[in-house]
Amino acid sequence: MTRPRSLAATLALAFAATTLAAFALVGAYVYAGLERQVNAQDDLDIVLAARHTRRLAGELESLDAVRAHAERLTSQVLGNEALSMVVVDAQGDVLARHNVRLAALDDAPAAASVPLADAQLFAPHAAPVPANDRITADRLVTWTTGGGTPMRGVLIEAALGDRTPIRIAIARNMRDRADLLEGYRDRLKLAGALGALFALLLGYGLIRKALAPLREIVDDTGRITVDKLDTRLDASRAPPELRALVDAQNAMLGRLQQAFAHLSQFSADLAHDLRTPLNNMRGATEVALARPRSVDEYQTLLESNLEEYDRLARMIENVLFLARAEHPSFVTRQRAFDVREELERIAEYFEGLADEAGSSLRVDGHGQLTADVELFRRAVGNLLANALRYTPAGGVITLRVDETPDAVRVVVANPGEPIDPALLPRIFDRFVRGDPARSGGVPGGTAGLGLAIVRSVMELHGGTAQVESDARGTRFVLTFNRPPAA
Amino acid sequence: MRILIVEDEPKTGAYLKKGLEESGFSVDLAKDGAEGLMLAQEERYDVIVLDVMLPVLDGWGVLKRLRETHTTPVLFLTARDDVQDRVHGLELGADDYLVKPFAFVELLARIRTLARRGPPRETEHLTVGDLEIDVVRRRVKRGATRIDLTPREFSLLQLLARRQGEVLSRTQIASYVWDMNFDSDTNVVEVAIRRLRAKIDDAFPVKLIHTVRGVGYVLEPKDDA
Repeated sequence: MTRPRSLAATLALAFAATTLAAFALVGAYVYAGLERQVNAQDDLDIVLAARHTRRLAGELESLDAVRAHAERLTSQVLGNEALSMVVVDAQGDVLARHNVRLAALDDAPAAASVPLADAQLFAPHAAPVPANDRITADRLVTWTTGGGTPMRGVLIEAALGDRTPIRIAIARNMRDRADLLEGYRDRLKLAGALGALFALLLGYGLIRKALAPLREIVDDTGRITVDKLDTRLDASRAPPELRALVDAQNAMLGRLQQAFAHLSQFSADLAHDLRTPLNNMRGATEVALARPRSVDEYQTLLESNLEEYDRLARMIENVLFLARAEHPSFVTRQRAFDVREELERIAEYFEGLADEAGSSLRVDGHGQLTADVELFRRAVGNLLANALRYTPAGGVITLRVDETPDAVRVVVANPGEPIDPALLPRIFDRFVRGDPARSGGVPGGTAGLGLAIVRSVMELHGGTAQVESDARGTRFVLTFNRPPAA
Repeated sequence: MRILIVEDEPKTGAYLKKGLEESGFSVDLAKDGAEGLMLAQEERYDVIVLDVMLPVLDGWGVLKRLRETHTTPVLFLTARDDVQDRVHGLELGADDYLVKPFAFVELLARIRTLARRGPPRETEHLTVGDLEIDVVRRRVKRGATRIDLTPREFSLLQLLARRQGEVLSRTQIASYVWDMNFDSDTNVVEVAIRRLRAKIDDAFPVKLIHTVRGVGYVLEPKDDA
């Protein structure tokens, strides 16, 4: 693909092309008008000369009179250098001629002294206008001489006073007219070219000026760096056409800023959460090494360290899972399964734990779902682990599946203290905990990633994770949308 | 059984060698890919543990060249668990892989499986000390006492008995018994073991289920000293 041309250049070229087209149309119209007018004038000259000559011929008595007073006939074309006339009798003998050589000069300059064939002056195809016919412009013919001179003229018959027929040819050398029109044409072309060039330059300048706000937007955008994500582009200076662009860019900046803040917070939280286990290990190890200890003490230390390693490993695994889940190339292995069966399996896994905590699990409902089973277990498992953490002794945690034509909903509900309403909108964010002070101390706590993973899993399935919490307890709702029936 | 470890990181190499030797293997350690390939081609090993990131010749290269002549089982270790990485290794002819960080007992279990070349034999009767398990009838007796177990408890006991003497990590147990392949950050397995113990061990002087602190659990007829 070729590089796209600049907007200013494209528009300026379009301007120029439009101007040129307009000039061409107007020029062609004006030129045609002039040509018509000039031709009409010339035709009129020829026609009038022919009529007068025919009338004058009628006043001459005989061929002899014609010979004697040829100037009477030729006087009709006397004043006009371009007009020529030849008068011949029925046998073709020339009775009078005027300006014939002049008219033919450019045909054969060297032949100035050679008697010209008078017939050359006449269009060979021209039929004479009969003596009684009115001479009009439509009897005129146009031709070009062998030398290339454009000619226009008429051949007429006339009768002398004694009824002797003669022929009169009147022709006009059109060279001057051709030159005139040609010059006019050239001037029109030049004017058109200059006009187009002018439009091109003017258009380019104007468009560049009109696009100045765009360059400002570009400059402003170029100045936005990571530490200035709170900058917004000024929409008030932008023309209405560009305002949508500016608004869209500002909206994008807003999203970027939010995501970036989120990410920085995430990195900070992650670093912070890595510190705790590291610090535990470091401190405990240093203290242990400060003086000789019993084997049992060393073993306890190593065991405690191992727990921290597990915590770190889990954290890394979870963070990697989240990072990968955000990548479009993440592969889910989806298959159809019975949701109730899966919920029962998960409940069974957690049953012992619930028992120990004095709570119990109940599975309700039926449903079929196509999803990645491993991820489904992970999401529900995280919710259940979370529910167990916050359910008071004696509470019943419910796992329920509902099936509607367009969605499968899985609800994990537990009784207990309602979650702080201020926390609800962020509960699926990474490192957000229901009780920051407490969960750090829970052995193998989720490090605040469990619910983020739940949301990630739902997003991978094009579904949603929601939470409601009130005096009755807390309900996490996973909605898997069904694809529309084919 | 002989094992070759190809690992350039000194600490990793050292602890792998030590751990495997203490588990009864005879271990050679190569510090780069070229040395590893040479040893693998010249000596006879039952299993090769191969790191992916190696100097001179990387793990993929070693595996590729080795597979031209040898079929020795190869388990590769990687810090990157991209699906593509795994697929690449398995396509080149690796038999198994482990992602760092891994539990040592997990490595041990994988190596044993590879060395055995095939699944453990399914026996109908399992005996550990005075504990008898009838797999077909799903009955458990300790001495003359019949013990009733729930189906999951039975699965757990059966797993421990089949791998008697082998330490199993919590992750392994969760995966084998419940098919849960994610870490739920809960002590589900501890609870399950505690309940199983209450039925199997509590009433008897000789304990069979032992906790290996921080690592996992093992079923064997020796008393906690």
